[in-house]
Amino acid sequence: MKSLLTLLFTLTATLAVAAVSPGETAPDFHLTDTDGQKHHLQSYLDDGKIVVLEWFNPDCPYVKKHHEANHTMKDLAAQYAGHDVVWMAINSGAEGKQGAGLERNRKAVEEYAIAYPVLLDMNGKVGKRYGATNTPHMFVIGTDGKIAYAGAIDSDNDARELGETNYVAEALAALTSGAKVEKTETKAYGCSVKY
Amino acid sequence: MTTMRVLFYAWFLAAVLVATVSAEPEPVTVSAEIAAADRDSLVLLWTFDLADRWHLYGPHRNDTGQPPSVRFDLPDGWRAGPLEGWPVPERHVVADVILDHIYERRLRLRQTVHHLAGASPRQVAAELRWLVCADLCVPGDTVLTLDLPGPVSAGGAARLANHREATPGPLPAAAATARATADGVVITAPGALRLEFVPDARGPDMVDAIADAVRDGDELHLRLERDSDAAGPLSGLLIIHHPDDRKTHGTITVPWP
Repeated sequence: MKSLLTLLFTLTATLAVAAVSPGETAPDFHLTDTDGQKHHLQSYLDDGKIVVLEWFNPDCPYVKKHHEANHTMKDLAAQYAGHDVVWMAINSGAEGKQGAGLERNRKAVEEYAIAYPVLLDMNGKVGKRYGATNTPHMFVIGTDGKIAYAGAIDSDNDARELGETNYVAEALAALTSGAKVEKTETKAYGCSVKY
Repeated sequence: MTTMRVLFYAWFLAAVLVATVSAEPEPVTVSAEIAAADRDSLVLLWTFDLADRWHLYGPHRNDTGQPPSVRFDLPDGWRAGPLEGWPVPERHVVADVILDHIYERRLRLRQTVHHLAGASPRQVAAELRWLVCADLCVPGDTVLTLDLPGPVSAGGAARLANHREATPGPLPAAAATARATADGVVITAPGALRLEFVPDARGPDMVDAIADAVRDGDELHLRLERDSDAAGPLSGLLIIHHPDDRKTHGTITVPWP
């Protein structure tokens, strides 16, 4: 009995902290965006799309760096919109935490003029399955359903300066031209996800 | 008339109290002092005082935060060393997913500035940047103008001595042993009640730092990623809890793989 409990505990603990790495299959999910539209990851992959997931918190200064002071995400998403790339933001903040909740994120979509869906994951299940730790934390999923890139959006972890290298842009350039993604993993930076 | 005056003072006192209570304190205030000086160098002590509930990050392996930094605008021939003397941090785990190493209340660091021998005092600008978090995160910065070189501050030498004393040094060889295994490293500290490991920022990735880096008993099994980009030894700070409530600590390096 004790062994069974130990095993169950171990499995639970492992599931709680499991994070995906490049080369592994991206965990499937169903989430609803701020407009009430449902999104199913596998459906996009079945349609041959490359998917970019951006962990999001509208009140995090590092998110503001890319949505307010600069248009890093918006511009890159627009650049690849016609290349079978689906870009989605996910907010895994729990109710009552900074930047969480339907109303705040609806407002953020307007404030930042975000043209792609912002999905709500208020119980944090999807965020934890991906091992999302930061906002922003980026995952690029290839048409094979595997993680092609995970980590930071760019190479400068300062809250103001933009990095010289945009890792997601590099990954998308490679994937859309059939080339190999060279840099598959970096350390994400930013605020902690407010689980 | 006296009644009016008493009422006025009562109102004034109440207004001051309300203003004091409602004013949000700054999450971080920074100060600097010269704590040691000789002919061609000086040691600055930086003090970051934190408001309740706020924390700064250490230079260790963190999932989210970054440590404070200082950038000097120095005259030709001058040079600033790195921030040194990071104290033992606290583990900060969020939702079983995020692990950071943090400082609350006060963080004191030292930094050596080398200048030309016998240089006359001048104003030197130092830009400090940090990320401070509570329920939310706020990046902060300030520019302090310092007169350097200058006299050692009152009490500065004692504070520097205390700071050096509290800074973790290498772990005595007799305190713990470490060996590489097929999937990581095992650290053993005979007689320990509990062990904690704070990994340095550089080095191989840990499979599960949240689960592995703290354990009751005298043995710690740290599983490491074999295909980690960051090759080389695993280094960090080992904190040993003894049965008599003492806590000792020191830095340790274990070859890997």
